Amino acid sequence: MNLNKKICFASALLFSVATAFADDQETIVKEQKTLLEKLDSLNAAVLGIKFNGRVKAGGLNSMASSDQFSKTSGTQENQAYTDANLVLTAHPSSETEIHLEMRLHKDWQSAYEETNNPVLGHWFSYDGLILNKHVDFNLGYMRVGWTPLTLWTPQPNLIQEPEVFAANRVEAMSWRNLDTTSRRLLQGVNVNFNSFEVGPVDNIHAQVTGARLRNISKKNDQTFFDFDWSDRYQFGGRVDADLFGAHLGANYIDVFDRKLSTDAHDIVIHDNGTSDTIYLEDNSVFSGQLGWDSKKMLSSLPVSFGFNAEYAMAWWEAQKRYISKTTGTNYMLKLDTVPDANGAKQAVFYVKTTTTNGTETVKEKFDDFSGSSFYVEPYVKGDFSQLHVDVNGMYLMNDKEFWSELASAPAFEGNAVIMNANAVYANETYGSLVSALGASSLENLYFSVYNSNPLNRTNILTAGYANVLSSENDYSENAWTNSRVYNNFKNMHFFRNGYAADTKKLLEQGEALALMDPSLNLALPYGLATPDRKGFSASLNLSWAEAVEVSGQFSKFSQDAIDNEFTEFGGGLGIDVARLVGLDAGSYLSKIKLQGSYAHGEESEWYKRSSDRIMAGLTVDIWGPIGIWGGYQQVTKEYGNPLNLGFAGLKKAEESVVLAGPRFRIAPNSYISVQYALLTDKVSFDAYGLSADGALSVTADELSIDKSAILADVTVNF
Amino acid sequence: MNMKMKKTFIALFAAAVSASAATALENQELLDSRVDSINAMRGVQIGGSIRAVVQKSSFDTDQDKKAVNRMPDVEDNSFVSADIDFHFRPWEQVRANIMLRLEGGMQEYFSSASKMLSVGWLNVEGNIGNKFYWVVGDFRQQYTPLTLFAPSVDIMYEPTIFARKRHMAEKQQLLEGNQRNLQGINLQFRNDFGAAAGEFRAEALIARLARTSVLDLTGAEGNILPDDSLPGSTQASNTAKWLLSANLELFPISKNLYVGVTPMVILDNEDSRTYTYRHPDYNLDEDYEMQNINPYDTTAQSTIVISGRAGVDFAGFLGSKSIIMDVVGEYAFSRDDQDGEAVNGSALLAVLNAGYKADDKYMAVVEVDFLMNDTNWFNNVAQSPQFFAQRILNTDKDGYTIKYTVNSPLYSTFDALYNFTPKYSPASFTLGTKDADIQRGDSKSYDLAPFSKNSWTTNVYSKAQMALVAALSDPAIQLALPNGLATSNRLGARALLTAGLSNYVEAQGLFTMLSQPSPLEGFSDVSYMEYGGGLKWSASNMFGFKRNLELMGSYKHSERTMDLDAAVMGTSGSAELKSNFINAGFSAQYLPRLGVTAGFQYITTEYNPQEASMGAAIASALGALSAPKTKGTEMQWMVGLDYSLEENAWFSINYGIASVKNEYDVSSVTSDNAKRSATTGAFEPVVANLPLYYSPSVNADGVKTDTKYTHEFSRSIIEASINVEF
Repeated sequence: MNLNKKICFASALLFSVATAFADDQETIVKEQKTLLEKLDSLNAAVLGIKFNGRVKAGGLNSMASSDQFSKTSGTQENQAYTDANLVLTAHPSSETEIHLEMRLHKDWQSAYEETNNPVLGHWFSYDGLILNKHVDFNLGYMRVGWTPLTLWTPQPNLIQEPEVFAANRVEAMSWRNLDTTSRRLLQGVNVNFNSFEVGPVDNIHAQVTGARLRNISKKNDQTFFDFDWSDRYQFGGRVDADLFGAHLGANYIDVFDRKLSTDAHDIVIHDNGTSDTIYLEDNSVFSGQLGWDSKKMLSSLPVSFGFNAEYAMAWWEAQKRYISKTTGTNYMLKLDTVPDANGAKQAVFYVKTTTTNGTETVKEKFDDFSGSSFYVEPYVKGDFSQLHVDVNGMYLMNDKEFWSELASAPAFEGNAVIMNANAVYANETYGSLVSALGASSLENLYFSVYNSNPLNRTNILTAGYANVLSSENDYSENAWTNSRVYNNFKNMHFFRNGYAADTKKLLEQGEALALMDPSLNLALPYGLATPDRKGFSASLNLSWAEAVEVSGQFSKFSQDAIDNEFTEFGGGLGIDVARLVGLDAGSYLSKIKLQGSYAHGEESEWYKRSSDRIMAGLTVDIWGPIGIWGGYQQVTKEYGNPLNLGFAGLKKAEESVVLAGPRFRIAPNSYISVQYALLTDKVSFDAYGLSADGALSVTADELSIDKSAILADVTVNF
Repeated sequence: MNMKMKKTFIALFAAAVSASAATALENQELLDSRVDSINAMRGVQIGGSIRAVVQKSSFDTDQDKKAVNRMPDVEDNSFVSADIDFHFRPWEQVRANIMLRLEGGMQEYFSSASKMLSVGWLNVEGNIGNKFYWVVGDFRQQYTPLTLFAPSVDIMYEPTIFARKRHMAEKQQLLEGNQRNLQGINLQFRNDFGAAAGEFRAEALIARLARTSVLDLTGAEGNILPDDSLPGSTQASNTAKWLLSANLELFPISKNLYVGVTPMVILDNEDSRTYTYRHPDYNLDEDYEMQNINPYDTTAQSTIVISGRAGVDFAGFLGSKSIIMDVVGEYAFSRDDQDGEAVNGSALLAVLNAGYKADDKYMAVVEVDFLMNDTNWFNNVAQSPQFFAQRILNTDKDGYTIKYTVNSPLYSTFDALYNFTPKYSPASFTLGTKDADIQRGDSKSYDLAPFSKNSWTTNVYSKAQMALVAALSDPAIQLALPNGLATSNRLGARALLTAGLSNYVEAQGLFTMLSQPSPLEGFSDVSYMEYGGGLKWSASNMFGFKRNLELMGSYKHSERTMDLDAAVMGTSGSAELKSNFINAGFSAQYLPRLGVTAGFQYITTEYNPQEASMGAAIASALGALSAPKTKGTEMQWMVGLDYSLEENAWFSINYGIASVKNEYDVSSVTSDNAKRSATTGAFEPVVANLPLYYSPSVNADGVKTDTKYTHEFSRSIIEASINVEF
């Protein structure tokens, strides 16, 4: 933008605001929205390069106490850092944008020189809206969501989550480039075409999306953290149309392991005679959508109603590959001499057989199946004076054989230890329990740690095979150690974060499923694409004058294969007292929001799990620079049949978190924030062991960890 | 948008907000941030510096007649290091500062596509009005020499050609004067209460000095004595180490009086102690065991320092601009608790400045520092030195003994002071291209990974680390006050007289007399003396030449005498160390920007027999069996052409030779110094401070005949450097 243009624009803005000052609040809001649009369009039109970003500096001091810690255990952990996320946008034309994000992170210390603390790029994309806005595209990093049965990210269903928790969850996810929408984070290409109005048709939409999900390491002396035996790709396309309020669509998506890519890495037979075994999966889904909304045809009514339905068919097949030892027989014609009757040597020919040992790669079909899924979601929405009503229902019927990978994997994985990872436990069972389960699910949901640490032998994966630094065919640990020597020369960035963007293949998700948090989406852990579910859900949301919100929901699903029944219900209430009593305009207290909710889920069979979640929160905005927010959350998870972890059986987990603190605004979008957190986590379990006579012994035991943490930071957005 | 307009605009926005509700407030925030983002073009300032060096150092000695040491004679360093500073100012009250360091190694022979881009400096800062300033992240701070300070070394009238090299080495480490580089929160408040009450300054900072972090104990980075097990060998920290400090100062009566107080706490957060798993004694056949991150020094520090000071500017009271007469006295108390054993220490520093200045015609000032620091005085944020002598050029030639720094056979003070290379990739210890050779070639002191070679640091050392650093200090430049004015166990004074004539002659005289109030065990008296003088003469200023012509030179003598306590040592006498340092420099411009610079430096250090055997005993205690060094002589000269734009912007091409001649008492060394290692098959020295190629002289009967060995070597250096700060 040239300077003249900028000055004119600023003056225009000045007058607009001055005028707005005289008007009432609604007009101000309207004016502001227009201004925002103007500013955004102006920003988008600026050619050239822009730097924006966020710098956040501060610390997290977490203090833990537990009777199950060993006497020497560390009880505190300090994080102290400066972190910058630099966003570089370049507009080669007014229609397209290059978007780069780089992370700079320094953990505070002066004890020794950290010579190389690299800058990590974590978002690279080229996006555009071209051809008279009919086509938009993403190349590189992108977030794409289609339908709940094809391409989708199931998100936790938390009723009236207090704002302080919601903000912390958004923050924890953002470190992983994730957001709270149902769009899936992918790297590839995505193109959308919209026809807009064509005759009676409101819009014809076509979309193609292709992405690479995994990448095999291409060299034997390198190991990726996200190592896989093959490249894995996704491609798909969809077409849909809207007319007279109806929506009609067809979607096809396929995700597969590229078999040829497995040749880039050796499959080997180990010393104990077992072979690496790899499974190459192919999963495709075709779905049809039908929906209708009354708003288009009956716009004059105070209520609108309609439905969304989708029917999907999924196919899954897997090939198994391993190395098999072979034996073969070789035949050779040999010349020798034998004495004849006179003792004279006589030449003879004979056939010699030898057995040869070899190996071959066996490729065989492992399994295949197909299944279908169907859901229909009717809804009614209405506005009566200041009351807004939203009623939703859903009927779902999924086959046991239905599998749609890209619609299944949730962004929340949990099972990580975020704070006080330095704790040492009094016995092996406690330590193993923490290794298996991680810290509490509340700690995983709302907290995260990001470090840049020196690479060394304890935190870098070393090559499992001989390379230039180890002798050939040396598979001992010595070879591993010598394969990588890093000399504290370089730092690398490390996460402690409960969220992940990757998808799980069908054969990988078994163990993960058992460890998934039953307090989040117990009945539908993979969202609407969860296999083997039949049932319904219903929800009611009421909102009055944007000050009072009431929510209630109920669901019942069955899992026929094991005669399991899931029942979930919950309700919540949110009241903005300031808005309710009219304090919000012109008062020092512009927001006093109270929130609370309760949710329950249970299953009748399998582990007979049940969970209860209670949340309460308060958010107060005091006009000027000060805000205070806080929240309390309590989760109880019970296993009627203990979850067998091998060394212990998990029976019950009781967790709670209190999170509260002030927030000071030091400049627009820049804050000093202090939060105090108190987390409790109590796990009841049966410890498995052997008694003196060698019989299996089961001892009831408990692991209880309390953590209190202070999080303080200053965040500047620019 | 001009600034005035912007302010009006902001004010109106603020007014609009007061009348609106939450939605309007949220929109307001978005609007503000969008406006900011548009203004970001104006709000970004870019600055930085570029250092580029192409250097070839050729090692030469005629004493390796049998070519025992077959490691490369030549070290080529070529690098560009660009520090790009981004200063983002999205709003009047807050700023974000980011320094990115881009490094290139100048070789593209094989694919080396990735160049390092690292984060050198990162902070957010802001102010509230013009009285309160805050910064979070990286910052520099210094209070006083006894509280928060980064002591450096002083070289009187250092020739420009060498001073420039040192400037680059220090800048590479982000050093600025005697400020300490810290990361944390720093708050500063200033208020002027008028002439009588004066200016009041209140400052506070919290910095994390160390974090719990697992390090490879064999690496050159992060370790003082890599692959060694003495306390302080590794800089890995078992706990988080914090510094909390406040600083209050008042300058009443038109700033002619000064009172200040600084309380500080440095503590290891014992509750954050963290463990890791390692194979015992690196034996891979043993099971992993849980160990302290730093297994060699498990003590936890808890130190309190309280300093009070007062000063008077007598000349200020007199209202004279010609007379210089001020005095500041500082007393500091330390209570250091290392694992429950607390010791109290104290330090006293009085600084007197007196002199006369007659406009620009002539001046004479004497600065006298009187100090009385007892032996238990401890404050590692004031004592950790900026200079920790390292072996820099031709390190492949002396292999793993480079970790013994000053005791390494090829050590040179000039090499440590002036050379640096930010990313050096060592050759393997045995030269061979077979897998096994490379695997075996992993040196004991640094692994086969790149590392930075630079003697200048910003490190804060622990007590054990500081003891090691002190044992490895260079006597030619760090003898009397290795930890600056905060050096513990010192009593005495230092006087520096500076006299100047107009702007063309400046002369300095230095005299230091110090002793140890509590002599080290085994000695009845330990004293230090330094004296010297120097002169800088600007012929161009004197004769009014248009172009610069400058000559400078100095001489400094340092000595330490340690009287042996016969009752403890069983013998009497003195251990004496005497060192002389001569500097001579010349710089001249013959075209507007083109010039010639030349420099000469000469150091002799003599050790009497007691001193030499004591030095060898200390070096041997550090793990390096050493022969007593009786004399060291170093000489270097360098000449060059330069193209100078400004003070810190130049391009220069230099050539010089640095030669070293060390004499050793080898009467107890009976075997060839090169011994083949049983594990690596490479040659390793038996006596660490003698070169590999030392071999005892023997007569026809095989009886050793030599008692002295003189080791001579030289480095010839040709280099081109560019330094630009913008």
